[in-house]
Amino acid sequence: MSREFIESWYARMPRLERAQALVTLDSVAYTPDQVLAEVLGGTPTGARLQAMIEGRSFTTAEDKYALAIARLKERLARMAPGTKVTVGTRTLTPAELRREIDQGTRVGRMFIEAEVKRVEEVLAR
Amino acid sequence: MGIATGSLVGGVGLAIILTRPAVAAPPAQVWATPEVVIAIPEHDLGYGSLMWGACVLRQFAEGIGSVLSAELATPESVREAILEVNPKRFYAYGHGEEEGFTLEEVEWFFDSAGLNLDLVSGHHIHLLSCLTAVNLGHKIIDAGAASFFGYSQEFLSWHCDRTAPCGSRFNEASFYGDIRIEEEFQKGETSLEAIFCSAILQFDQEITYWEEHFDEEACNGMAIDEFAAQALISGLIHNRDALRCYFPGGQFPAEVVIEA
Repeated sequence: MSREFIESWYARMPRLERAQALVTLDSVAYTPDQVLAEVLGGTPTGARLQAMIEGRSFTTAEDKYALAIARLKERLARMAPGTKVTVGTRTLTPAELRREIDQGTRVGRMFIEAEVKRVEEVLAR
Repeated sequence: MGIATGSLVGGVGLAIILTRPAVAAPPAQVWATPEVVIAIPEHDLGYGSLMWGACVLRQFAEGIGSVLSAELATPESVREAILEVNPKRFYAYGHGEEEGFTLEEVEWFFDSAGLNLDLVSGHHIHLLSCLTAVNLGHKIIDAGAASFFGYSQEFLSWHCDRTAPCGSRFNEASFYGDIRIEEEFQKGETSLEAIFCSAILQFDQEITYWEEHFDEEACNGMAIDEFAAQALISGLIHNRDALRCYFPGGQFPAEVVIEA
């Protein structure tokens, strides 16, 4: 395991993703910034995170789904209220979209699935 | 009518300016060139969700030198335009569902039972609309269309309110991938696969742009924050993966068949 490997992995992460939860270990989600700090700090958690990233054995489907929900909820809670999304004839505020996710509606699941794809695409880099 | 006063620099010192309430421009919803008829309805029974894309499509229509064919994209005026121009392509924006597509004020234009499907034979049909790729798109191909582009899920678009629809890249970004299809046709591209791949690439390029440049963009004078950019990117991924292209005998993305 090399320090260069994790630095190269970190460098491939989009700037927008570096402070966002991306990798799950023991049900705790870490951002790329946190992964880099753990690895560079030489912690046991850093070694396990690095092994996971080097082996590309990231997370189970269930973990990715849970991670996607967590990312969405955090984002929607912090978005400016004037930012809205249109879904067909409906226009939703971040708070309304969060309710769709909490209630597991078709629209809510659609956003979760898109977020799962996003996590997978970033991890594939 | 209001009256405002003010001083004129280098002028006589006092000017009286008559001001009037802004008058909304008349609708400009059906555009045509010999190659394409473009229908861009703006009103949807008060739902208010069409205006965000209408502005972007109108920019495209104007940019290719199309002329106004009718002010309102009613089913009647659009049918008339297609019959009159007999274009190679029909590009339309509007609300849709699995079995149908609507225009101005959510009036049906196409449906799976056959409404207006006599118009599609030999033409490329492109609907920027929710869900029409689920079933209507197949019916359009069955009715003789050369191709169909549309979406298998709801089309998502993010915007910041209190901003003009074309007032920022954030408001427009959801539509760029779809417009790329028409840009490729307009350039003379004939390979449907190349056109489809170019649209997918445009979605991906827009995702990459927002990953790195989100804080260079603004809405209503406020910088776009990371949360709005992340939300936009997820929407772009959703729209990209819902895009479908059908043609006689095939589709993109290619359908996977499991051999028995």
